[in-house]
Amino acid sequence: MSELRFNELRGEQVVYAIHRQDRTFLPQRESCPLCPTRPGGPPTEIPFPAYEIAVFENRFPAFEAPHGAAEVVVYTDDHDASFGSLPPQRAEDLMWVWRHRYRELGARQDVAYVFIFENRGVEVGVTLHHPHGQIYGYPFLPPVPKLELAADQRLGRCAPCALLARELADGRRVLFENDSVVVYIPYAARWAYEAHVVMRQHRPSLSECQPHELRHLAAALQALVRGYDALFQRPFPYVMAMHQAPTASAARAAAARIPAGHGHLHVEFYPPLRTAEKLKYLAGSEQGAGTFISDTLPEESAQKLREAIQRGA
Amino acid sequence: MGAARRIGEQEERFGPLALARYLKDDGRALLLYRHIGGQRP
Repeated sequence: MSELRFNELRGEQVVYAIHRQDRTFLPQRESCPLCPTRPGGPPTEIPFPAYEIAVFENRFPAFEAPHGAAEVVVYTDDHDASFGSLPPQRAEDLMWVWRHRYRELGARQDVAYVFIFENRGVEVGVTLHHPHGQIYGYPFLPPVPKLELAADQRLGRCAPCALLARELADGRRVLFENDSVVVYIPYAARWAYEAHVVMRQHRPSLSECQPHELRHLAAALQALVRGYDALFQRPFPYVMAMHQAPTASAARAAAARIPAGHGHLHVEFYPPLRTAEKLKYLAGSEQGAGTFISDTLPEESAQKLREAIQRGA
Repeated sequence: MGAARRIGEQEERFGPLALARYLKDDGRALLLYRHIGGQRP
């Protein structure tokens, strides 16, 4: 069981999940716990010889009932695939799986925020290479969603709606568009190739999306990650973070001053690479003062990444 | 890791997916989704 401690100087919770110290770390592919359990082979997390998409409770959870949730979402039984290489239908199905988990976990009284994410690459701390993501059901509203709530209040309207309008009007940082989704590097990106995948319509979560919007979201996400891989002709590491409306109960939402309709589904990517070989490190200014120093301009990165997305299509 | 037993006799339907629920030997939930087509939210 994890322990929460409130860090007064930072004004944030810190989670102590010391059982995670012994979790499986970069196993040989023959011992991958996310592969199907093949006849005569070692047992894995999924005791079937084949599957499409699997979700299971994390064996080494940061959160668990009755104080939240931690799930693993395995995109495919193909060990060597990636989100970008999935057939379009499987990527679209994954949107429905995420929507299902958002609804089911969000309905729990011990979950205040459903966070769907993927860590890709050892550069961001991946411990299993098999294509998968994770879901945390936080028992509290974490700091980043709180900042988005504050941005809404500062701008006097939905912040992602306002920022999307600004990016479309400017156009220089837009990477990809379809009928439902826009992908851009934000005006004040913190990472060289940070990208935001934003629903055109105000959709608080996957739950409010129309079926065609889920299809377009999957297509936009795949276009971006294929472009990332084409950028430096190598698997591109990233953290993918899906931001949606909090799911806190009405009482909790009122206590946290979360207005009805708050939240605008968007997916943020934080890639640590600033060149093909160089990583951006969070050093003194970023960690000690909370101010990112960037070596690149978003407009220049956008031009390179836009061309890579076209090459990766 | 190990085996898992099925919960419920019928698959659930969610949008274009069918969902089967299992309980693993150690008590953790496992859900398997497969594409069946159609889109019923």
